[in-house]
Amino acid sequence: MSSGFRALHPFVIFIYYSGAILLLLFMFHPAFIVVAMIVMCAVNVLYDGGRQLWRWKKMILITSLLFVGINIFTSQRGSHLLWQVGDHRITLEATLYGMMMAGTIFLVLALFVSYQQVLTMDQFFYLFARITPQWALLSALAIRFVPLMKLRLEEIQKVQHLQHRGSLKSWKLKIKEKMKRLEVLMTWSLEGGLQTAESMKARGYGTVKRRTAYTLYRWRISDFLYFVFLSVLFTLCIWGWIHGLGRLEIYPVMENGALSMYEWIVLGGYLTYLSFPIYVEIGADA
Amino acid sequence: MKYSNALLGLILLILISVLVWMDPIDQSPLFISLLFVGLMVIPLLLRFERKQLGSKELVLLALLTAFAAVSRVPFAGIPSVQPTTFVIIVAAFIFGAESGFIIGAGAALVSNIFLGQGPWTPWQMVSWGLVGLSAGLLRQPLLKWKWIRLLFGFIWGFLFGWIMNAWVFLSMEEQTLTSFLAVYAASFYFDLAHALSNVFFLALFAKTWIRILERFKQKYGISNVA
Amino acid sequence: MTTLACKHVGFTYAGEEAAVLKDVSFSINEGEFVLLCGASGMGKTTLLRLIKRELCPAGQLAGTIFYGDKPLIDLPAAQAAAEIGMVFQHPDHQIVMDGCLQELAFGMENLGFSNHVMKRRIAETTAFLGIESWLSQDVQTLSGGQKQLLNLAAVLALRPKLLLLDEPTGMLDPIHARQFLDALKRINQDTEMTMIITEHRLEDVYPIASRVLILDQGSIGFDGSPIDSIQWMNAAGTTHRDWVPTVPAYALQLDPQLKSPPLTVNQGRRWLRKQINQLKEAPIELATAKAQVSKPFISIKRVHFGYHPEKGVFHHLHFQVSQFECVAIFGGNGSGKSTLLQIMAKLLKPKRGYVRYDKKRLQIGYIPQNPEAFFMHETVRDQIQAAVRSDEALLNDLVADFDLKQLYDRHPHDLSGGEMQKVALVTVLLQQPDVLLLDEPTKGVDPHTKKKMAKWMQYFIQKGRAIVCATHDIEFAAIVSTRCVLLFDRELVVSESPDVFFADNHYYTTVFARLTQGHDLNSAQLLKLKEMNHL
Repeated sequence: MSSGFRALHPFVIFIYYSGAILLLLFMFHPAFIVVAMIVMCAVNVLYDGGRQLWRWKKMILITSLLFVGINIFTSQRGSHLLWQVGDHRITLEATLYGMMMAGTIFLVLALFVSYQQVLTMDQFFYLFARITPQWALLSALAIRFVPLMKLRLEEIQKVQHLQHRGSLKSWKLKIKEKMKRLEVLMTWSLEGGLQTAESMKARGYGTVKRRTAYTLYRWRISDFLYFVFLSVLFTLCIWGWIHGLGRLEIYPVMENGALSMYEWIVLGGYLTYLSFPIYVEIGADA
Repeated sequence: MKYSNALLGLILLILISVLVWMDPIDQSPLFISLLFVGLMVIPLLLRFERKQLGSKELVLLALLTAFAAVSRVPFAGIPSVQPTTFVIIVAAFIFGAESGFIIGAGAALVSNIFLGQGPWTPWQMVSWGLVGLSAGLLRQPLLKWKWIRLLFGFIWGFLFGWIMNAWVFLSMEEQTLTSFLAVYAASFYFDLAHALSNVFFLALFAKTWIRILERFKQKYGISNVA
Repeated sequence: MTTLACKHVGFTYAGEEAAVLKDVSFSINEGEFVLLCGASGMGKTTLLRLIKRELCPAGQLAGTIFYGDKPLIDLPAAQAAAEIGMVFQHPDHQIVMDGCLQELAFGMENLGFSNHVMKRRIAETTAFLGIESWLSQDVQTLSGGQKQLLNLAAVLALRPKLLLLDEPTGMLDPIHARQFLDALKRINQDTEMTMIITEHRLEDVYPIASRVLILDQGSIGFDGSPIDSIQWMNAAGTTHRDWVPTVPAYALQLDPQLKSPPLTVNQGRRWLRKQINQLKEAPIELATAKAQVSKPFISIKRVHFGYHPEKGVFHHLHFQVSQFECVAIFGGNGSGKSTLLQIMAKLLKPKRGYVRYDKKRLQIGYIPQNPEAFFMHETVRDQIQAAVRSDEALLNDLVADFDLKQLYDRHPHDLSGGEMQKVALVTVLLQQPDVLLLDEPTKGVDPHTKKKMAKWMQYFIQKGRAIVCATHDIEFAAIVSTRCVLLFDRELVVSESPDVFFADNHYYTTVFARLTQGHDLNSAQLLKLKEMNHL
């Protein structure tokens, strides 16, 4: 599938994600976070029905509880009392803050999950191969090795399993076995890597100072327009942020949750920015 | 080499001053994470880029990075026990400080592709990067002694946890001494587990692994990667 | 026109006393397809690496290598990288990028080709090899054979004039190996590209090679046409004789004085037709030793298994292995041979049905598809000695027979594919399990060693044990197996004795069967021929 959002110039995609992460980190207001959560879920559903994101459910739950818990436990500030346990006050403010923090962490995770699905290695490579060719190749190689190593690890485990079926009782022996597995994987991979390096050299790696890139992405007028569009929205949001919009003031007195007119405008810009992949995708289908 | 050390020191200084100078709540606490890693990584990135690495060095670094990341897999069930720190220390011991940093920071980034990318990623990159960097800097002659090596692993078990705690602390709304202590006390057992597992791995496996990596260093024909 | 010439080339590895190559001289003309033979350790790989300048090992080089009319050293770096291409043994390790297209472009990117040129060359190369359909795929989804074709394509895209191939089919099953060699033949014929190949699978290379070089004791022992080389090998003692391909080997056994033995099955059948009358009648004495019937070691009943529920691998599968049996499992790639082995070892749990062992602690030995995963020790010595169960005599016999002493100090991962299989088999034989599960045990193994492996496997089952072996190697299975099984379309289609199995098949059968099928031979004549069965 290479239409819609993914078919845009990688630079535009990259800009979207860079901007999005900044906005997600900056905007610290329940309304903004809730809106962003809906949009990020929708973006994920758009690409794989949210399957990848769903894999993280346990982790998200634990981190969220942790953050809310820690905050309730350590902070007693705020005037809206929810509960009193002994002499510890649980306040609305502290709970809200913890939830907002948990929400932001979820948002970052969700953004990366969709990032990994949208920006292919090839596009990533294209973006960075010209600025930092060595880094680009290094990360491409490292990321390629990971699934390979995981498969090998499974294979080694199978052999080990047969060699001492259930005979390892103590934890020390179990850890030793796991480390042995890693040791075998390391020699196997390093031995193979030597050949990878030779195959690179045999095909002229390092002969010419400047490598060229096979994949070319054409920078179209539409890409330029999208870029301008995103920049305008981003600037709007940042302008709002500088003026205290999109941030909930909790102390000394909790700000009224209701949004002012300006805040509505910034929220609109924020929503439009984040849901960019969605309407580009829908527009392409129509 | 001296120049690079000075540069690294400078970066650390900047990072610390940024942390002190910024009032994390008024700004965005999580944004600092990003800034933090940016300041840390960009100069190193540029330094690394300027070197013309051969295919062997490049593949070796990529392999060890991926390996350090994947080494978390067999231990996925046990919290804070993972041999990644151990792998980074051993690799840095053989291949030097800068390689150590690259492998450490890279391992954090790569392993989070399958373990979940989040605001903690930059902090992990920095923590593991520093593990590699320091192991590489101290390898001659300090880490030659087994006991110092074990102590080094033990200290990093806690240090790693403490750096990671920093971001939890920074993202909390109330940054008082009690909340600070609360976070650090809560993580004590995890850090202890990490420290002890480092010691355990270093005591039992360092010798073999160093021998294996030493063999490959010769086989790859590499004197010092980076 | 001369493409390559070696003048008195010698080479000694750094830090070693003895020279690997002493005095090697030959010259190769444009368009020749040269097969480089010689027992392992004779320096075939070293010679290829000296020619592929970028990979020249550290050591002392004597003599001169000429590329065209200039010394190889004077060639500009970019030209050397592009014009002398090399394909290695291991399909996985050579691949750098994770997409096929990126992999194909990698070499050209290195040499700074423009985008336009790259596109054109990739289009051309992939169309020629017929691999366009998987261009957009991830490398990881390809089979070993496809990966090796991709590696070839990546080198061809640089338009080499000289192509070096270092055991390129060593890790492939026979079907894919054939495909790969066919592609080479076509390239050689269509473009006049010069090729030098080292190979174990001489069967398939012989008909396409135009010249054979045999390395012997550090210099060229033989240099001439394939047909003459067979005579030379046949006369040069057992180690060389085992390398003679099956068809000429049969012919030479019937008539050792034969001047030009047949090379292909086609030639062999025609030759045999003339010979039939000369085969003397022999007394018929069919010793059909009935295998002792005993309770099965492993029985599999009604097993369902699949990685993807919608396209399951097995559907209601029954299978048994008993004492004294060596079962060969055939089937295409992805038909589930490896899966079946792993289900038997209880490494994979079937969705339905059961796997039952005849005793609680049935010992199982298993060599996986990648033998690398099998080695848990740092040297071959440790690997083998850790496996010994009180039977020192067996250890000594195995080590002597497989000539393992010389590998003792090497790291197992350091060995070639064939050597790894050898060491893995020895290890697992020493462990003396009840049932031995082998996944492609002859991948990359030279004919000489293969013969020994067959001998030891037969010895093993005679001791009241069993072997199940997933393989593509028909000649090997024909010797070693007592039962053949064919997996197809989620089912076990055939299960019969090798004699019946191979006699009934037309393509999927031994060279022997292909030679004799349809000829008017009586059983005695067949038997006589068969006794000469050669690997």
